[in-house]
Amino acid sequence: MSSLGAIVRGNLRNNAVHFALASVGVIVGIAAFAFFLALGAGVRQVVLGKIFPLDQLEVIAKSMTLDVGPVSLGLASDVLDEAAAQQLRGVPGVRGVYPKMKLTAPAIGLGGKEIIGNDIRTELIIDGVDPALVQGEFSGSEQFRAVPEPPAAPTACADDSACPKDMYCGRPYQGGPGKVCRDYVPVIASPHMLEIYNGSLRRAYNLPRLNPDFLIGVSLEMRVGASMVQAAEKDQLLFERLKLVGFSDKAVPLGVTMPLSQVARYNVHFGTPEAATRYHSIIIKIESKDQVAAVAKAIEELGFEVTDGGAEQAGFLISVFVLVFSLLSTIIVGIAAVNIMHVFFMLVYERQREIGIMRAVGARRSDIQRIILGEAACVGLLAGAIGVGLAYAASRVFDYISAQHLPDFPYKPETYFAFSVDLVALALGFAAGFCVLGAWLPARRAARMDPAAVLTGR
Amino acid sequence: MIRARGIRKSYRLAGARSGELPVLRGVDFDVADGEFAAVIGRSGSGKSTLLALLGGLDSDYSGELQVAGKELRTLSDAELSAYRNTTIGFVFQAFHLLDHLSCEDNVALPALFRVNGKESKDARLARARELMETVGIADKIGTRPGTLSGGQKQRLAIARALYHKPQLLICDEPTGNLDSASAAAIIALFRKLRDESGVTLTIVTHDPTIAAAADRVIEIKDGVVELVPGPGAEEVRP
Repeated sequence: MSSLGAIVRGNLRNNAVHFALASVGVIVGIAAFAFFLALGAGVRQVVLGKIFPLDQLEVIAKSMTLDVGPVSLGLASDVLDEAAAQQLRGVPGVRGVYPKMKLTAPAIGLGGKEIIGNDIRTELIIDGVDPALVQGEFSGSEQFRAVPEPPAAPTACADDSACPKDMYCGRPYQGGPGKVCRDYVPVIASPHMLEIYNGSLRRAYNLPRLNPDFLIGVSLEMRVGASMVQAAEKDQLLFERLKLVGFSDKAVPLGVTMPLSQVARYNVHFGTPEAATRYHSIIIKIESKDQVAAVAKAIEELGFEVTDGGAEQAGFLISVFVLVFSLLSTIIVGIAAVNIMHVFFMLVYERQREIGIMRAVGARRSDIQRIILGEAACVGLLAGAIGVGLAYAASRVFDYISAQHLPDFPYKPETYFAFSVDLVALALGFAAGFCVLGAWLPARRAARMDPAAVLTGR
Repeated sequence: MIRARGIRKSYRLAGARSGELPVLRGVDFDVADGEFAAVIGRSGSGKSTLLALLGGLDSDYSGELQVAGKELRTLSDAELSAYRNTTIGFVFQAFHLLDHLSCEDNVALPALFRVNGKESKDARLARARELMETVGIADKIGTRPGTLSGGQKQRLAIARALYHKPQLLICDEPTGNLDSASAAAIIALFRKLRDESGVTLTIVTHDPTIAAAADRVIEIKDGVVELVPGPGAEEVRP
C-alpha cells in the first residue's frame, strides 16, 4: 500500500477541487457528530462526576413504613451495623465500604460574620463518615480525622494564644464556667451547597459570591442538643467549634459532615451506647463504573436497599440526548456518503484512461480498488479532521457565550464539552468509514473496467 | 516468443440480445525471440484486438496464444497483471502518460504495482532516470509530461515500457501522433533497443516506414493473417 500511496497523493492533489466539494457534507456531518458527542460527554462529566457520582452507591437497610396521613411511620429498624458492613465488603466489585451516621440530636450553628458580614444562626444537619472515604480527595484531607475524646481536666485559657497550635480557647465540652483549650471538629461540606448558594441564594439575599478556597479554615460555633425549633435542656448541651477543612461530594448535600467517631460520640451522649455502632447508611465504592448495576443487584439480593441518587436517570437522559443527535449527524454523514459516491463515480468515469494505464503496467483489480478506497479514506480523514476542528471551534464559541452572557446557575461549568482522544479517533474513523463506504461501488466499477476498451479506443 | 494458433475473438453486438461480431477468425502466427514484427492492416481489421490479447488486457478468446511460454487464457487476473508488469511493455499511440506525475514517476509507474521485490523510492527514481537517459530525454528529468513534445512523450512512454526489462514490447501505432522526423527517431530507437537488449518487438502500425524496418510484417485482413516478409527476414508461415 505504501507505494500506492504516491498515486493516491497525486490523485488527491489532481482532483482537489472535486474532493473538496464532495467532502462538504462530510465536514458538516462530522462537525455535528463531534459537537454533540463532545457536548454529551461534557455534560455527562458534570452531571455524573459532580452532581451524581456514579462510582459509588449508598446502601440503606430495607425499611417498611406505614403512611398515616402526612406522617410515615417506620415499622422496621432502619439502621445498619458492623455485621452489615462486613457482608457488603464481600460483594464482588466492591472496593471499599464506608459507614455513615446521622446526628440523632438537634444542633445549631452560629457564625459567618467573617464571610458575609453578619453572624447567622442556623439549624445544622450533620452526618459522620469514615475519614478514609475522603482521604486524598482534596487538599488538606488529612485534617479530616477523628477528634480525641475531650479530656476530663482540660487546660484553662484566656484566649487562643494560650492554647497549642491548631486548638482554640473556648467553652468546655459540656458547658460550664471559664474557657479551656479545645480541639476543633474538622468538617467537610458539599460543593452542591456552595453551587446552590453561588448560583441562586446569594442573589436573593444580595450576598457576595463565595470562593471555596477562601472558605477553607473558616470556623463556626456549634451547640449540639440545641434547636431553634424546640427548647433544649441546657445541661445536656455540648459545645464545639467546627472548622471547614474541605469540600467533597461525599459530604451531606445540605449541612456538614464530620468524622464518624465524632457523630457516634454525640449520639451516645444523647442516646444509648449502642448508638455508636448503628449506621444510617453505608457508602460503597465500586471498582469500575461498569460494575455499578451488578453491584447494586448483588446488594439488593443481600436484603439491602440501594438509594437512587438520580444518576441512572440522568445518565440515561444524557445517553438518549447523545444518541438522538448522533443519529441526526449520522444521517447527515450518510447523505454525504451518497454525494461521495456520485463524485467518485464521476471521477472514475473521468479517470478511465488513467485506470487503464495502471492496469496496462501491471495494476491488479485489487490495486485499483485500493487506490480509489485509499483516496476516499484520505478525503474522509481530512474532512473528518476539518469537521472536528469546526466542532471544537463551535464549542469554544458556545463556552464563550455561556461564560459572558448566561447568568450563573448551580454547576455552571467552564466548558460544556469534553473532546477526548477517543472521540476524535471515533469521528475520524466515522468520516473515513463513510467515505470508504460511499466509494465502494465506484471502486468496484473502476476495478472491473475493461482496460483494453479504454486504451485501444475500442 | 509468441505462438498464436487459431485465435478467434468476437464482440457481442451492442444493444443486441444475441449476435456477435467476429473480429479475429483464426489467427495463426509466430514471433521469435528478439524479432521485430510489424502488424499491419486496415482499420477494423482486428489489429488492436490482437494487441489487447497479446498484452493480456483481454483473455476472452478461443484458440492458443502463448507468450513467453505462458498460455494467456489460463492466467488469473493477478497472473495477467504480473505478466503485464514484468514480461511485456506497452507503448501506445496516445502515449497514455499521467500528467499529474513527474516524468520519472511516470517511468517508474510499473514499479508501484510489482508484487514481489518492491524497490525503494530512490531505487525506482534512479532506474527511471537511467531509462530516460537511454531513450534520450535525460534533460527532461524533473519535468512533467505536459511540457514535452510528442516525440519526447513517446520516448517517455517507451522508457516506462522498458522499466522491468520486458521480453516483449507491444506498441500500438507508436508513431501515429508524431511528425516524420520524430517518427524516424522513434523507429531508430526501437531498432537500437532490439539490437542492444534483444527485446522482441511487436508493433501495430499503419506507418510503412515501420513496416519497412521490421524483420517481419504480419498483415491482418478480414480477421485472418497474411504474412508478408520484411526486409532481411525469412517468411515463416505457420
